[in-house]
Amino acid sequence: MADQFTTPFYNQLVAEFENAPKGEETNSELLKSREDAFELFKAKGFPTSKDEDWKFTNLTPFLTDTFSLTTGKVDQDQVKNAVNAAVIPGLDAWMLVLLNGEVQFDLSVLPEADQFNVQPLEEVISTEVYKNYITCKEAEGNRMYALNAAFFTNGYFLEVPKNIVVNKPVQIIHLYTAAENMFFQPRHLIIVNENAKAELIEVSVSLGNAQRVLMNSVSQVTVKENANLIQYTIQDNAAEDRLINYNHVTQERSSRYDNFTFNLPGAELIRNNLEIVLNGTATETHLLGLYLVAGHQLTDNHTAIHHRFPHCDSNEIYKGVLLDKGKAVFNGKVFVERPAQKTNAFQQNNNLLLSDKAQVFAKPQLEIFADDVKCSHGCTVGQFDPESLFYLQSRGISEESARKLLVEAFMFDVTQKIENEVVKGYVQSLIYKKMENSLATII
Amino acid sequence: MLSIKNLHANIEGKEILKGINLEVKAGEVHAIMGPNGSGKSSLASVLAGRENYEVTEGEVWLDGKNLLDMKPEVRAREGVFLAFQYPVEIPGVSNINFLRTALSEIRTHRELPQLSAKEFLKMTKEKQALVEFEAKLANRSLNQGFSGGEKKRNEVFQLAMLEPKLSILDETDSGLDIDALRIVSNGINKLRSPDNAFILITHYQRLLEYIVPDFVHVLYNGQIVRSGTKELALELEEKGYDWLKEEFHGSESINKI
Amino acid sequence: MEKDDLMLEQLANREYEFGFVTAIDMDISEVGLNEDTVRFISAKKNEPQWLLDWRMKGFKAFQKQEMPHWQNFKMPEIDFQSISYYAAPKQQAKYASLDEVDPELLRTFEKLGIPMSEQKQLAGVAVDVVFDSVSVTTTYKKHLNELGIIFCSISDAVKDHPELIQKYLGSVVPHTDNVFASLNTAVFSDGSFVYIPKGVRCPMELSTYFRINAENTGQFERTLIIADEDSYVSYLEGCTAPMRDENQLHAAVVELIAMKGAEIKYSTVQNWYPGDKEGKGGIFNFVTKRGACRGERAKISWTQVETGSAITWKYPSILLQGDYSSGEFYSVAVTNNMQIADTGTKIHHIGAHTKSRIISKGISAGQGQNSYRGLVQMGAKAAYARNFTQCDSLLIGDRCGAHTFPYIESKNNTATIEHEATTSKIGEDQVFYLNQRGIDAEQAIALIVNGYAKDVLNQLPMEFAVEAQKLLSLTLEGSVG
Repeated sequence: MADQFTTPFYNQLVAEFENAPKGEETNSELLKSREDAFELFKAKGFPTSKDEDWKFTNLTPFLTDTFSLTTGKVDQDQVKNAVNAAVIPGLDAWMLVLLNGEVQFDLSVLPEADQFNVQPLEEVISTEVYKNYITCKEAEGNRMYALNAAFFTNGYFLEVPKNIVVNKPVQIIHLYTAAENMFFQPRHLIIVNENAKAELIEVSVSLGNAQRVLMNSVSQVTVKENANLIQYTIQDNAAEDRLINYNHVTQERSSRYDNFTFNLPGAELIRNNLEIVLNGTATETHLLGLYLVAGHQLTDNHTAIHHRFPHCDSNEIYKGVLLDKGKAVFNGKVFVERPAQKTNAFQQNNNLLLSDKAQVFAKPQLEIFADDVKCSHGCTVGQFDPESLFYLQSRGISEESARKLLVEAFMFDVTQKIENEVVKGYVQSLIYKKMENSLATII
Repeated sequence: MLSIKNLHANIEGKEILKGINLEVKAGEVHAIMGPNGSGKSSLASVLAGRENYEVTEGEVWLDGKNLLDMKPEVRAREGVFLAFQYPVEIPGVSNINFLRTALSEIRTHRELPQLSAKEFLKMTKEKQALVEFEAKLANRSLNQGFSGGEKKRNEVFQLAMLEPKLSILDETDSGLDIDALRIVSNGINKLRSPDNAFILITHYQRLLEYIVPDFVHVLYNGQIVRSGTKELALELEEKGYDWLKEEFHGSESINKI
Repeated sequence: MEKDDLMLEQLANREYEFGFVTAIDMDISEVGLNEDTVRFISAKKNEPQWLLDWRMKGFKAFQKQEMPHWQNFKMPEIDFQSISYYAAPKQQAKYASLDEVDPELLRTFEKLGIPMSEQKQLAGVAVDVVFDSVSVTTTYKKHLNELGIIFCSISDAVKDHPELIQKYLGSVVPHTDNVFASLNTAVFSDGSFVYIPKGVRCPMELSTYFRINAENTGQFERTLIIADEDSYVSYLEGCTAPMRDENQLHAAVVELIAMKGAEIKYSTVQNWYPGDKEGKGGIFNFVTKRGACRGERAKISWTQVETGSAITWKYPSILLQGDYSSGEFYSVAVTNNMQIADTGTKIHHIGAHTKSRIISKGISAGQGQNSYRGLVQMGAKAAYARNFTQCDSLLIGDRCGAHTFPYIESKNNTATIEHEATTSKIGEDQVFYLNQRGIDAEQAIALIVNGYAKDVLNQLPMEFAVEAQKLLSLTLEGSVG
């Protein structure tokens, strides 16, 4: 237990916070919440595998390096090239670029504010926005959240006004680069107001210049009454990156939220927490995830859906393809509280283990306190169906192509749900590119 | 075209084919009949290269090439087509994508130029018309949600698309109503040519009223125990299989002495 | 609705059928737990030194351990010092025949419906009765002896078959396993022992009936079943307790060992006193059950019908060590009123080609909370292993809860795991259909629930299945809302 308190990184963070000049923060509520969050982190430290939520994801080996908390100089040309490479080809979209969590207006292409408004988070934090949106009851006790809450400095704020259907999708590029090992803790805030609709495609990439990037980000999303948000998270990072995300979504009456999460080979650690709070009746939620795990990667997707009002539907499909020495963790919680009668909650998790060194740990979880509900979950772990493989081969398709087709088929339940054809094509091509090497070597 | 010599095969250690001999020439249609469990479907599986069958003895040659040395997909590219008794459903693999992949790999192997998307679609339409297969293919997964009859028709449609030398139809008639049987048979008859050959595996004679075979073989207990012309099928229809069984067991007991 | 409410009122007031106390002279140890308690129990039973030493190891482990914290309910405060760890009917001599048994005791057995009469013996059930902590009598012994089958109390086995006990006791559930297993190791009083020799198919069901009678006592029995190569045994366990306002602790340990080709079928119908409808009293049922398939093609099957106890905390597990060995877990757990059940199974696939099947049916009514907690683990060597899990929850009324916590882990890419779970309310249209055919709501629910639990009930031996069905209906009475 005591190990985490003696690590240099823990000591560094504690010293950093305690030695920071006080009184710089003008928002006293924010200051207070930072201090409370810090106290929690200081008392409990980083999560360990003794914590149920971190049972299969041991953070310790990822925290042994020292990390700098302040960004050094960045090569602008390199950044421009990386941004260009991350742009989804053929997608007619608005563009928001963040470098190490900082909004880069000069690299972004944004509309007039009547479509939607983007500001650096630090500019809105002292206003009412803080009071109304930056609290997160479900994250109480979550130490990585607390760490972010204590330290976050930058991030983006995006708000779609009432009754606006944003005319183009918005691609948000999160670019990380570091001249030395860096620890980033951005925080983002998204508000989609009543009857509005938006599609956000968040792509996370890194320059991969061999320095370690540890990221602990928090996003908060509010989808108001009758509003609709589609959010994509495409994690296409370099091997040196360790990503820890907490995404908290509140849905109000009659809203719809669709989340697509794609973990691609690369980042050695990906830990996503996606928490959905259904704060009104007649909402609709779709969570779709695909984790493609290769090399020595560890990807961990924790999702939680809180049904608190009647007549809400949630639908979740997470699929994993495991290659090489990849390790995947899936934990999906569905809570149906007493008032949430007439809930329909469906969850499915399927894993394809394609290597004898790969591992998967799944824990689908239902906690139900209302009786008039329909809830189900299914979970499978296995490999290709030999009968399907033979059928394809008997039609002249090579074993390798047959495997590819079957992997594609396996992922179909998720990819078919992407309505934006350009994004669908982009995601599929990314997957194939990433899988090419590993698939050829599957026995 | 196809030459099977003294073929023996096991499944899970149990001998299921016990010395099959069969010669099939281009332009011929052979029917293989026999009671349940006689080894008919096993023969089809062994020819197509299903993994869980182990060939313990014998040879199979396709136009001078050793078929048993080839992987299933190479056999298919060389021109062996198996219409499955139970076509698998593969959710998520679209019919069209599947066919395009198969056709492209086969054409590469046969050193034929690739078809453009337009040509491919045109061919699809023609062949669908030829075998009277009207199902919409573009947005449907392979065999998923197809009725039994549709699955069988899809097999024949694939046969038309992939233009094999040797087609093995494993109980393609089973589970078809009389209309579907007529449609499937018409399709096959249209696909017959002096350059290709068919092996029809069937339990019943009724298919042979629609597709007239040149030869009929009776498979029993892993061996071809009787060969003849289409009249043999009629004889079987009349007498059933029992008399053959008796005769066969009789000769077996003689062999033992 | 009004009619239903009335019925609910009536039925909710129904009392626990087995809540009587038997007036028998008891030999009870002083309340409290320390090394002397352990020595006292061991001395009472004239145990050899090695067994006392092992008890002491268990006691030391118990002192070091924490209460489990991961279950889906708040662990009640258990004052281990306020419990008496030994209670036995005073008359200690063994009975040669049933005629010699205290008639009061026999009447108790009759009330319990224990198949003890000659008639029942003809039905082919051999019974060992554990009254409070001591095995009272074992029936049908002679016939079993002829086959070389040993079926006796564990105290007798310590005396008569020390080599078997020394070799196998604690070999599946070590004395350090968990706080309750350690406690059991230290203070276990009695229980049943079964040994089936090589190649023998036990011709009858073996059965033990457990009963807690005395006040302020806990019951800590220990069961050990060894099925030698290619043998077969089916074993049944039933339990009841009187109604008392205080909670009583039941912390049993069951160990099963199946050698190459052997099969053990273990069935439990658990009907400990559940407490009253406000949640007062009732048994805390904290049980450790585990079986090991040690050899090739060995098979262990757990079937449980859990209707009683204030709290049930048990996870009958199976270690599939031998290649081609298989495990099954069939469970029905019913919670009504304030009852809590946190139960499920753990299946460790260690050998290749191992197979397992889990069918769990949870039924929650009243304010009952029912959790399924399960682990299916495919080890790196479990090539071609397969698991299928079906885990369903049924909710009756809007104040109960159903929860599912499956852990699914695979380290072998040729292994296959399939897990399915559903939660739904009892079908209104089904109830209505039955109503329309003249069946009242109460009966309709009983019918539907029994149908729902059928996959599991079918696994029980005939005589138990009937009893289990009755229990299910009884437990759910008053749950129509």
